[in-house]
Amino acid sequence: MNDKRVEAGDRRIKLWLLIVSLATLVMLLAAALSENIFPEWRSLQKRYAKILQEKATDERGREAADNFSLEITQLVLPELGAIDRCITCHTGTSDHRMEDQPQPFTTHPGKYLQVHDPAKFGCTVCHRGQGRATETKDAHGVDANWEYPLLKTKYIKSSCSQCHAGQELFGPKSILSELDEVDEESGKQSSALIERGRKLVDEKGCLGCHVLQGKGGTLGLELTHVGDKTRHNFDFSHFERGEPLEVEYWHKKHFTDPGAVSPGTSMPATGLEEPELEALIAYLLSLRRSQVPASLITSTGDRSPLEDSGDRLYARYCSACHSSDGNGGGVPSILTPSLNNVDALAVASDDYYRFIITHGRSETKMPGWGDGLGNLSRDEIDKIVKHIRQWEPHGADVVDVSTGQGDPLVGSSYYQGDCASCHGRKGEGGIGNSLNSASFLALASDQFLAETVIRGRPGTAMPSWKHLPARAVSDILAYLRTWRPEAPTFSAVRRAGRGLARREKIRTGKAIYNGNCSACHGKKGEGGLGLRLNSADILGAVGDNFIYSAIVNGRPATAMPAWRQLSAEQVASVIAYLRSWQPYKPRWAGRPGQSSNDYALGELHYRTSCLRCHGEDGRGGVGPQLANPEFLKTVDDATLFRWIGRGRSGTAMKGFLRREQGPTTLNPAQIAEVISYLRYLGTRDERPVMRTGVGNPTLGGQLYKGNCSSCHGVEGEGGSGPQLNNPTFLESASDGFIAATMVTGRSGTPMRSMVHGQEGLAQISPEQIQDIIAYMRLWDFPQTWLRSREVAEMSERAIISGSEQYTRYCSGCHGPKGRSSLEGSAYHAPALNNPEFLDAVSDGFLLATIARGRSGTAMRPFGHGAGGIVSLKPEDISDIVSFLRTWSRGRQAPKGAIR
Amino acid sequence: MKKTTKPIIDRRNFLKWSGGVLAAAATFPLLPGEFAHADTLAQQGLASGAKRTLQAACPYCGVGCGSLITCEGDRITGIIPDKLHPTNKGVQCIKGLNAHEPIYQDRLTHVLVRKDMSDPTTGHVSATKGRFDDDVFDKMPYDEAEELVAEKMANVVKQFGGNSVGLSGSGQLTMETQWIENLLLKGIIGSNSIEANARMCMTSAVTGYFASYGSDAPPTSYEDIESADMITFWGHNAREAHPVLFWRVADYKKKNNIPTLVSDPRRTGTVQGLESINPRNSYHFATLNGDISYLNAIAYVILTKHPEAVMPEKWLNKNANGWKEYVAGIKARYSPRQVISRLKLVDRNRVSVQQIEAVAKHWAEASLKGRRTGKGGVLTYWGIGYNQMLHGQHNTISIINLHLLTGNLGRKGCGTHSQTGQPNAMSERLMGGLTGRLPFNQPMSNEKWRNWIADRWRVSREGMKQTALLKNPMAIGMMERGCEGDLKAMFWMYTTHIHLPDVETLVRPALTKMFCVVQEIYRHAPNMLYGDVIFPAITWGEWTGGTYIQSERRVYVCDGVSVGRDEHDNVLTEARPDLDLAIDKCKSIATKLGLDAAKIIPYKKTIENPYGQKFYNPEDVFEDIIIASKGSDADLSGMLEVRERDGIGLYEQLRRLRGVQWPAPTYEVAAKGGTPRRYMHQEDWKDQPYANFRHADGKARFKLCEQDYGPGNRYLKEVTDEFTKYGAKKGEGPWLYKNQNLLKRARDLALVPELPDIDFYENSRKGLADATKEDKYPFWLGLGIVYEHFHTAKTIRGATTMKLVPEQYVELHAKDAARYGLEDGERVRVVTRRSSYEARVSVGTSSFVRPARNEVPEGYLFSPWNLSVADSADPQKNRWLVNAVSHRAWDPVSGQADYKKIAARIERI
Repeated sequence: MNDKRVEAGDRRIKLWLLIVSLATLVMLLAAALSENIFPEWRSLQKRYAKILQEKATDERGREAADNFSLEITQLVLPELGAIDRCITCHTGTSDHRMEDQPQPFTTHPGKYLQVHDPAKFGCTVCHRGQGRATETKDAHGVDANWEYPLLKTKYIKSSCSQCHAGQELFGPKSILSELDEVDEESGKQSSALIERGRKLVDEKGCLGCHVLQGKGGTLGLELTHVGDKTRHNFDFSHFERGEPLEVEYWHKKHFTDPGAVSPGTSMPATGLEEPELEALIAYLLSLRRSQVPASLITSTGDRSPLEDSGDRLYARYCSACHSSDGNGGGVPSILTPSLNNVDALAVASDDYYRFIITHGRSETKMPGWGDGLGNLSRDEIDKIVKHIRQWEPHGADVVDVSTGQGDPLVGSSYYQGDCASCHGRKGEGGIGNSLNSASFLALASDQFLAETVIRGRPGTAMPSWKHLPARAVSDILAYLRTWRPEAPTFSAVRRAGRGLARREKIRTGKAIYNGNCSACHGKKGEGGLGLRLNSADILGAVGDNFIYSAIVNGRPATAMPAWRQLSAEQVASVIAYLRSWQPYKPRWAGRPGQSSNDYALGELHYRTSCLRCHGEDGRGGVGPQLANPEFLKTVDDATLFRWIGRGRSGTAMKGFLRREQGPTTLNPAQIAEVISYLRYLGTRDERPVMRTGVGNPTLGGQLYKGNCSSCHGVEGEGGSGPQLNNPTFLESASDGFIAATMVTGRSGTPMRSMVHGQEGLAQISPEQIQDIIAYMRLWDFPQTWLRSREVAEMSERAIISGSEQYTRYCSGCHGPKGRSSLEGSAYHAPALNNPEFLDAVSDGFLLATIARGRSGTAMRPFGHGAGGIVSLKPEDISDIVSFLRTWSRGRQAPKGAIR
Repeated sequence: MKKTTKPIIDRRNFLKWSGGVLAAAATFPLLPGEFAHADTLAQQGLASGAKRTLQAACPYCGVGCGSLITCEGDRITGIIPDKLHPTNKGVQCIKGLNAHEPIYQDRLTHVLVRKDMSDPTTGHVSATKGRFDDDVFDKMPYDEAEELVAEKMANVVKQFGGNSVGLSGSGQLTMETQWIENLLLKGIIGSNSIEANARMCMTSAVTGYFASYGSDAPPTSYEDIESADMITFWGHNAREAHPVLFWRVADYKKKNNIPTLVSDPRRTGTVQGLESINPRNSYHFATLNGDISYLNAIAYVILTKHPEAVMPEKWLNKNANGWKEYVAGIKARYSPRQVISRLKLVDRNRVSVQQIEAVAKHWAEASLKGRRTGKGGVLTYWGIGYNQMLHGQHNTISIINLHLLTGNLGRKGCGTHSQTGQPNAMSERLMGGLTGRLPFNQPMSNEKWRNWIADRWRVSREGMKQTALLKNPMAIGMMERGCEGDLKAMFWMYTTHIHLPDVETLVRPALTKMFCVVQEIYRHAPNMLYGDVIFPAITWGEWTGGTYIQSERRVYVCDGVSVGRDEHDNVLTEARPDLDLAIDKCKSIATKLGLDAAKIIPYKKTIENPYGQKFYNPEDVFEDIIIASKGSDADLSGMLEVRERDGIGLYEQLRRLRGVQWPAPTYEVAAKGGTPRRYMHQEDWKDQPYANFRHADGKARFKLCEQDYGPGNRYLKEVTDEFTKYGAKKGEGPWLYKNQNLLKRARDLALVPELPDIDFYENSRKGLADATKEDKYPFWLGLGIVYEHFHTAKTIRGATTMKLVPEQYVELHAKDAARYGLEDGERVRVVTRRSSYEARVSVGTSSFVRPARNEVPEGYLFSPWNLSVADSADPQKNRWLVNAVSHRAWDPVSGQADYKKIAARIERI
């Protein structure tokens, strides 16, 4: 810098200082004048005195007007710690004569002053503003620096919440409504505005992001005392020049265009129009701490909690993001999954939802709602889960499902589209169990299959298929049934029987019997888990077609499988062998008496005489299941009469006719009525699940641990074998189904026979099977469900292969490390790598979701033949799950896999 | 309460002012400083290999999924579906997700020049054509090669006239390149012999649209799916060809249970997928060639049984011509029974009267529902299988007829929507990159528009007028001209010859004779076999950018990293984008022909990469295109207004909106992303050219398309017998383009190119060996695509897609397999009258030969053509070249060949 420039600079500074000093001097003078000689209140009081004089009608009035002195007046409010000088200008508030005068002289409207003595309450407690100020602008807090500007008339009621709450404030009988006048514009009481606002907060889901009175999401700021916030708490920096810097206006703008007020916010535009906006603002302003001492509060309004049905809770806490109809995507800036997606509902258990709601999903925007987070109670969370569940289709009624009505061709279309990716194109199994196993199909009743399809197996990879109509389920069942072997007809069996020598038949029949039947029915037909056969009352009483039908069609839902794989010769041989014990001797055992065929009467007899053994509705117990359609189809009335009347020798079934040893006595007419009741049970569509309840669970538990737990898990949670302690499995599987599976094993799977004498794994007797079943029936689901997730194979091979598959097919959407939200917006699918999700989700959930995808979303099916992005083999999908599991807490990934 | 008076000064104001004064005093000594200029972040990022994403349309099918190319610096590393793109909404199929895999593979690095070139001016035919070994080529610097090509081409033009030079473009080139290639041929060289691979893909739909609506391109959008009441697919295996489209339909069907129809000879994945959602309202016409008849039969049932679904006479009179003749013809000749008995030879009663009636009932119900609610109706898709017929144009017209009759157009949720194979086939159509077309849906014969385009191209109007008079019998006929010596030289840009039919006896002989200039990215591509001068190009994602238009008229950017690389990460400094190659050729050839190159091509190289390469900016060309679109029915000039008013660049507008659907003629329309639907005065476009149908009278046209095999199938036999003469001898006549009457006859009766020996097939005593011995061809053979592979070049070089479907297969019905003793997985040779290929037998959906998705009907074979050169491009080693077996006969109007009905036999290997 050269010297000349320095000189020029100095001169400029001097000149500048001179100007500044002069300006300051002038301003100081002006301020002094304004402050001392022309205060605003003086002129107002002068005008008021004039009005008083005009209004004065009598001497006293005139005198009062004359004596009106110009001075600052104030209300001293020690209880509130305030001094209100408002009445310095608002001189006529208590004077009813001033009703026709303009502000600031007019009378206070409404009846408020009658209840709220100004001397006690002052003005600012309701109206806000600066009590001590003596200039309009300051007193009203118009300028941006005052904390609490005067409340606008329409929002004044928001001050009431300081003292009043609950019923007093809201509802048709609120105290406000009594004091209130009707708003000219809306024709409604102005206090209704706050109530409307409260409803909006409740319905629009504001509390999904904002905490109010201890409950709510944590994405946004807390609302509990938002009404106390001054304008210094709000950011006006993005407002345009000329826009009012008012809290109300800030709110209004924030509700209509949040991004313009706070750029980058996740807050969505509310889409509300004018009257609603006002209501919402009024309510927010009413959310204030009570700064009024208790001595001033005369009424203690009950702060009754908001109503909390599931839909209300959902609307309040969830709807903002997941939208009121569960469609998701309510907030554009947040990735919110739809909750009403059929595919998601089919795989997610209630526990899953409960867990995610309670704990949230870290690394996503989903906050937790449990204690210390959103503070919802368990009960409330349960209600929300229930609300989410109601979006699930009801599911077809099992009663409407019937294989006979199904079209296997149509069923194959459904099967290939929905089932094949897990169960294999021909039912050979994969992620799911093999279905084409002959022994499985022989045992599984229609009811069992239908319930499994419709209700799925929560927690496992078997989703529920509730969107399928009954007809479609029937079609699928009919298709599954085409995998059963073709059964020989009775006439073919008869023909075959005639073509063989008797000795030959007996020899073959014996071999077949010993191999297949003896485990349940005893070596010599003496019975065991199955019926005693070797009795004149049984074999002697029934014809060949009865035996044929029992063998070939089995007894659905009991332990008696359908032995359809036997050839005509083999069936004939078995029949011949059985006959070698007891020939068919149809003996007339008396005949049913004349009866009214009244099954209602029959039911009465049934309840007194039969129920104890044969169970409710004939579903079986100690005695065999009676309401079995296959049984009732082939047995004739005479045989039934014989069995009921005379009993079955060698079994617990005693005769009920007089002179027999039955526990009660029935006359022939009554027996006929019982029979008609049984016939009625046969016509009813429901097929009750047989529960015997005869085993000893304690013994069963030991047996289970010794023989079953290595495959099915210590508590039936599943392992290499399927999960057993699954609620829908235990509800839909009959005792017979379980028993027979243990006895016969399941061909095509590692499940071998468990029975002594068979070429099985264990040496369990039929009685012990009953014990195991009794033990299984004790399982309680909710505690054990979550454990069922640990089925993925955690071998190094599986994890490395899974990591390759993941990188190729999943990372594009879920991010290379499953942390979509952390790695830029390009990854748009939900983050998988968060502990809460991985804790809540079962392996089955993951398997099923990968295999079948989620319709309507970007998650396409990856299962083989599902026509998605790529056809992955079941092993590949299972490997991906193994890899995902390496992200679970406490897991260690082997080298070579991305972590 | 408003304050009326304001004190002049109060305490606060005083303080404020005083403060202000003091602050002013304090600030004055500050001297103005200099702002530091930040370095361009992009450059820094490139140098450090920073991660970033580029917007692009997927390079495979015409659905046009928004794909984000992820890059590290300027190296492409992956593809992510764009969740903000309205087409795919964050979903993508396996091809697109792995579109980066084949990029840095087997790259051509230098300009190669064949040592022994074919020279049309001397009549010399190269002896090394058909080989691509290193020893047949010399490397040559780019400028030298450019000079050589310009010299040769200019000589050919001077000696034989402009029309002796041809060009084969591509539906994968950017719109900008297509504009330039068309300018090169029609504006500079003066040739009408310009074709593209889009010819084999979409032109039946194009010409059908022109015939019915008067203008090309689907009038609908993808968003119509989610409003439709019934969706039909014709010759379209959407689940494999356009998966994202299928998934949207399937999701919607799952949700709303709408009826669907698929017309396809095979039980494709599409058929099965829809059936697995609800088999009871999913219909399948297993027809080989009967689509026209069945569409007419549906019309018959609607006219006779559901007349309430037919649009009122008043409406038809107002909006359409020719409907009375159509209705009369339908009623006389197209009852379901008549149709089924006529088609018995090819369809073997696979379609039943009940099916037709059920579909017609659904169609009528959906139409009524749509009309009543003002939203929805029948939405129809068709694909390449439907276009590739001798009567492809009639196929399209038949669909539109039925839609017009039932009023399924001009409304949300219904309409006709053809699907393209190529990602940018729409641009090829719109830019007029085909014989006799001008940009923006106008023929060369439209003088007014021709002059307008000539001015935009900065070439002489008179020259264009002369060009308009030249003839070229479309892609296949062009090859015949080549064989005959009428076409002397050709350019091949971003495409190879193997998509054309009859490769062995027609296409390759033609290419051998011609002087071929090729732009190619791979070193071992079929182009290398017949190219005389081969320029290395850089491809999708690597280029400098450009635009694609997908099937719902959405113009969308395809950004690139502006550099190519080989598998060793070496930068391909010799390679350039196709756009640059095309522009350079325009310049050099124009100069040789004595034109003012600088005036025609004013573009400057303004893009520079860090490796010293300079490129033209495609946005400059794009701007010219947008300006030229003004006043057309694809008017995009609103984008210019947006640029002017909002200051957003043209490409940037496309990026922000994820594409603009043409037309977008005004600021408002362009700013909201264009026009989703056309015609019928939607969007209140009363006075705009696309408000109404584009025929002079503003009405749509009905045309009854007939299908008749004659008494006892006599016509069919006559015509197919005649067709067998073509392609019988390699490279020799007769020439089909000189026998247009035969093509027209085949078209008018809706026939097929070949008829298998059905008597032989039905003779149960005859086996495979007998067929060879007696030279019989008992099977129908169809060629198409498979999900994992799409084009020939790229997916076969992708590791993932090759892993999924690694080899050539032929689908066969289980009964045929059993009868001829063929086993699943057995290797066989499929033989036709012209050539053969090898494949593995794949029987049914449980075949272990991947992908095993479809079931062919009895007597029908199917192979994908995408794997044609996957084993080797070298003819000596290539066993999979399926298009060598196809027949050349084409639709006389649309120019598409029928790849779906070839007579074939199977031989054991």
